[in-house]
Amino acid sequence: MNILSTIYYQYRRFAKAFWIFAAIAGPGLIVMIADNDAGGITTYAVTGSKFGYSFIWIELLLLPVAYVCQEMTVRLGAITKRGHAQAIFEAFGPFWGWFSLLDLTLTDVLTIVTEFIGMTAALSIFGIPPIITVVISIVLIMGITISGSYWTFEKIILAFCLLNLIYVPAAFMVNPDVSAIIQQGLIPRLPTSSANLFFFFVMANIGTTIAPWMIFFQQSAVVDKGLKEKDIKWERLDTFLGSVWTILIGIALIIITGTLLPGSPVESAAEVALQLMPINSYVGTFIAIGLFDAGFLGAVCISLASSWALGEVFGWSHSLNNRVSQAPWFFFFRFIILCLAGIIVLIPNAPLVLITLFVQVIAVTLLPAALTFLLLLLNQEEEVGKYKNTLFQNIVASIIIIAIIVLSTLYGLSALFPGWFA
Amino acid sequence: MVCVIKMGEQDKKLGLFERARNKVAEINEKYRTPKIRMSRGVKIALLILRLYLLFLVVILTYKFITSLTQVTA
Repeated sequence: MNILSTIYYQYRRFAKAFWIFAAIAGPGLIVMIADNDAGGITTYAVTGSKFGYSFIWIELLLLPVAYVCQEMTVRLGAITKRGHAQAIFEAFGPFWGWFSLLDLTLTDVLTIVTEFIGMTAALSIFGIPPIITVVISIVLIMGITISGSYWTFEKIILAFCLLNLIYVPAAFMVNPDVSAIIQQGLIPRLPTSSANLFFFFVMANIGTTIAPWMIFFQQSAVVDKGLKEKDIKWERLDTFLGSVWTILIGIALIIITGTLLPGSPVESAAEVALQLMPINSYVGTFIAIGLFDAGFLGAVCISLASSWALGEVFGWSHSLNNRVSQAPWFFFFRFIILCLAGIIVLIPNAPLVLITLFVQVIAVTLLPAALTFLLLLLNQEEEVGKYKNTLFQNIVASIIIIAIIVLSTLYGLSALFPGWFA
Repeated sequence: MVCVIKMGEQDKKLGLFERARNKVAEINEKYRTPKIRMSRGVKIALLILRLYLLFLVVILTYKFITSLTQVTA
């Protein structure tokens, strides 16, 4: 009887914890899964085809990198109840504030262009013309966010996040060699040849794991959801699970292309999907569906990051709990940047490759500042009280941030001057 | 209160550009004094960030000029 009551007590305890987590989870999972956007999916797919399984251990190393950076936004948002843009203005003044806001907006518009490139390429595999894809995507994205309820938005987006897992069954369907994955993928080994190319892909994978919009998005989402100090431990778990999820998807894609297209000169995820159609039509279809989903999630979250940031600074109503009539500028701005990005993609002979390269360069100008501000703010006791970074957290975060800044700068430079890293 | 209403009416008469300029000035005024405690570490970090941005501006300008000379040549 005593055992039964203990089991029942533990079950009730677990069930209660689960439901609390289910209510709080969202911002961390969404930001991490949306991080696997169209550009991210392309990076993983091309990485797998170039290096086989030998990049898996690097993906695993990126898990703590993503978690450490995003966890800091959770504390800052939950304690200060301010988004990152507003926090920068308040703490560092107008120069850094305007720099961050304008750079974020420009980066976001250009990144949304790359999301639309991914979405149109994915659906064109099924014969859907780009203009239809763009229009339907914009209508869907706006439709999700005008419900007037953050909760509704979050649950719909989490359903799209689930679709992102489509790559996991696809990875099993290609029948990978498990022993080769363990030997080549889990034992750290640097390549003896093509070192420059390997280094370039390390930089690209880091660039796709941490992007400036993610910091702004999660902090604003935590504020908009109304998370409080007591929710921080659950939101940390949410962020950790999101990090695991994002790395899992990256590894699944590396396994797919590493198994079926090793050494193939593919340049994009859409190309990967097309090449896989004759080999395994299900896997090819899964990659195309996943690519659309990734671009869609990216466009939703990135447009929100900018809109939240502008709303915070300009003092507009900027909550997803508002209806369109209550926060007209917030929704109007989102609509405008989505339309702008959509139009750029539809312009015949638009320099889309140049835009994609430009995104990498512009992101490099903002990422170091956003991460440094995050670290500095998390050291202000008057701002975050007992949630201030400990010495250990500061050491780990500093090492990670310096590594990200150096590698993302080199990545940006390699995009500008390919000859330097040839 | 009367003053606020008058300002609102005046604001409506202003063009979009002027209203935006006023809003920017208002934001600049609101956040004029940085709230962060300017310790030595913060000052050094901000200085490094400024130098980093300057470096990027120089690099981008160099890229722009070299691209331009390649196009004209």
